[in-house]
Amino acid sequence: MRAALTALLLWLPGSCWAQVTISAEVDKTDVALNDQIVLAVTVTGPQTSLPEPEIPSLPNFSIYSSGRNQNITFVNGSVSSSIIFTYVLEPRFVGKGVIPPIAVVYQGHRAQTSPIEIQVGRPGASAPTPTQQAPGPARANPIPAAPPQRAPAAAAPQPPPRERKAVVAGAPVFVQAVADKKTAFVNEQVTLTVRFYTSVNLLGNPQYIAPKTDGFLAEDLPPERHGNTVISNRTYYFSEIKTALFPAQAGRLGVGPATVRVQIQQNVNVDPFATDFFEKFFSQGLVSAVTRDLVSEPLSIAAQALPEADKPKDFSGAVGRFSIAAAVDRSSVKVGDAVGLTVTVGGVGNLKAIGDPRMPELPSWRVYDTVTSLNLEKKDDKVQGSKVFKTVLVPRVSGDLQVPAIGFSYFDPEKRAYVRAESLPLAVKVAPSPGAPAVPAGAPPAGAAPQGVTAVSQDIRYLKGAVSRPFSQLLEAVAGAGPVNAAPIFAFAFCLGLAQYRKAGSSDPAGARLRGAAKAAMGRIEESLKSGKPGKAAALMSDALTGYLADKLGQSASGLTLRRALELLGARRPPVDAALLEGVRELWSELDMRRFAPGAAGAGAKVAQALRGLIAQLEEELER
Amino acid sequence: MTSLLLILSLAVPASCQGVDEARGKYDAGDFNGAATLYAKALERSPRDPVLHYDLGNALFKAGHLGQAIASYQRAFDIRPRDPDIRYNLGFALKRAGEELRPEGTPPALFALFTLLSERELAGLQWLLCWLALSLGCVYVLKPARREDLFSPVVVAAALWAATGLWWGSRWLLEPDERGVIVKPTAELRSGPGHNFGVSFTAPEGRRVQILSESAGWLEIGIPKEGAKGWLAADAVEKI
Repeated sequence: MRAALTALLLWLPGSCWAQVTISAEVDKTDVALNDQIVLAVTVTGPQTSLPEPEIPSLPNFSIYSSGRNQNITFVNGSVSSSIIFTYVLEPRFVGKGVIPPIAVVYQGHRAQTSPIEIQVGRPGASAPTPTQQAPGPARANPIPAAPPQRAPAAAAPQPPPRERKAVVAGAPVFVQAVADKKTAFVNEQVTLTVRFYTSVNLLGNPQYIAPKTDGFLAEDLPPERHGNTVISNRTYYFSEIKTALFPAQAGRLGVGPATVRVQIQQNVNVDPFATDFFEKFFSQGLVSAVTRDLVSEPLSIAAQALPEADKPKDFSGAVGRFSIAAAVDRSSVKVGDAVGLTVTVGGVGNLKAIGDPRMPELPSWRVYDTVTSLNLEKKDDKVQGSKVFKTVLVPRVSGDLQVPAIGFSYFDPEKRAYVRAESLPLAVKVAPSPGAPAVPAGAPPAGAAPQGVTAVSQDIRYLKGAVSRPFSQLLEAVAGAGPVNAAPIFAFAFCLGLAQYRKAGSSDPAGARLRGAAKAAMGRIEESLKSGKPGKAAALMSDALTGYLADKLGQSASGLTLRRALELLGARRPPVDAALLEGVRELWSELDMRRFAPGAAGAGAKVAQALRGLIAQLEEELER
Repeated sequence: MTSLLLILSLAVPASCQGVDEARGKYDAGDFNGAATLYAKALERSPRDPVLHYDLGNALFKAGHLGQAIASYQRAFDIRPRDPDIRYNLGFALKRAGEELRPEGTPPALFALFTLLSERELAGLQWLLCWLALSLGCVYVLKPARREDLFSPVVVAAALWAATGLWWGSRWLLEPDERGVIVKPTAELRSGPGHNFGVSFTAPEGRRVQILSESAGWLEIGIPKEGAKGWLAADAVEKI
């Protein structure tokens, strides 16, 4: 009985070698010399243990392993799996390169991919082409869109209509389903235990039909447990199956009845009073088999939504208890060399549901796509294990580079709070690259193609040297001159006044002559003193007096006589003082005498002084 | 004029005393030591934009974002068209959540508007004033040459007017007194004292207007957010 039930419940692997296939694909077939190619080799087969591919010699490329990602699917007891082996290839030479067939060998059978041609161009000259897949017999999705899930109970074959009712404990055979908690957070594990009890011999092998678990992600928790127990003074043999359920959504979620289909021994009902002798004879001691579907009571689980308060920005849905670690495969490289970064998130919880940890900004590195692999363990009835994220980093610059701490946020249902775990920062020493790889003979030279400017990091600019700024300093000096800057305004105002004055003079020549008479006379007196010749000085002084009187009296200087001048002065109103008129007469006569008389001494400073005094007195007198 | 330019150019090396030592400390990673030496050099040449810039660099590297922005701002005020000063001030302001160019202002317009410092603009305006009025004097006093002088006088007067408007608008837009918050997450209160409640907080490096002062407290305005409050005077470095 035990063996029979176990045989039913175990997932029996197939052994069909003929279905193991291999395929290979690259992310691009046209690549620059300083670029990289991602080669994904997929091995698919109907068993969980698949062989590794045999990577052939690749003289045209440097090759680095970038991890593997396994995808296992169980459907109705049959298993299929695929492993994607990822490699990073760096071309060594310009020209056409070939990735030879990649083979996989298992139990003496061999399968291989077709060769892939790669065109390697000069740096900066390649144009990426769409992904090309090498032809192969079969191909699995290289990056599964979702982790493999057990086939839903709804897809199981429906049993023929039979008696279906929950059988209570105490019956000869019955099924019981219990959950370890009635309330859980979304994505928190709920352990469902289904026990089948029997106290009678069964005919045939019982069949277990898993309950419907719509709204949950389900994970089996092997192994099955078996044993004897006593219930109500009856000894039962029991088999126990555990399943981890993770609520996928908030709300009240139902777990349908678990069903075990059994054949129970039943005595044949024979009529002891039957008249048919043969019937009575052959039915003695015979039993018949009755098929019954034993079902458990349905369960209900209340799934709570995760709190929105304090939810970290990088939270990707992980619920449980996790830790994160990061490591690089090399701590000392050259610029352009590949460094494998492995980030491992491990712990207890639904690892299939967690997303990639958010990588920090790595401006000094070229970061390639992340390859994920999942290692699930089911220990102590808990889903646990680790999810490994492998990335290839290529340093762009030399120096002591650092991969900063990588954070991972999850919700701890026991603490009912979000928790953030961080890896330790990693240091990598990067030496300058010695230069481009050697070019094989005959190949076109890989010239220094122009490279685009790539921002690696942002920082302030360096110190400045002294700068000469004479124009700035000149302007600043002018600005600091203060009141001096008002000078042009005053100068302009003066010029305006002067121009106005000149304009007024030109429009009234008689007035201008009258106003300028004394100034003109004084000028002539000064000129006479500078002449140095007494005769000429006397003439200039005589002209000064004659010109002054002509200007004041509005007469022509050449035609003005002493007599006429005295008449006009005497005719002015108010009349000019008689003594002043006498003074004019005397000085006029004296100047004539000094000018024209033979042997005269000429005019000197004394006469000039007398003439100035006379003009000053006349100015005052004529102003009245 | 030539002698004036010579004197002005000879004045530059005088400000370099101690700068070599400061640069050595900067290169060696002693940013606080470099900042001290740059500050001493600035006491001798307070209007050297390069010294303000270098001091800003040392303070930035030493982690004093607010003081660094104050130094960069002083350098920018003196020599706003210098691309390095402009870049580092913009870079530091971004750390403080601010942009050098006001939001919505076209870059070309901002570059033109801040091509000259306010002081340079004042000097240029006075120079053009001299030129325009000198030409005006000749124009007024020499009626015979008016036909030749008309165009130069008009051009000079137009340039003077434009520069004057430019200077005036800069003078109007620039607040009278400015400062930079130099304390991390400064708490601005509703009055000048700790007995007043905190109205809002502002990050280190934010440029503010200083509106008034009272007993060791400064009344601060942040126009972008429309915020106003009081801050202890030691939390703000005046520019």
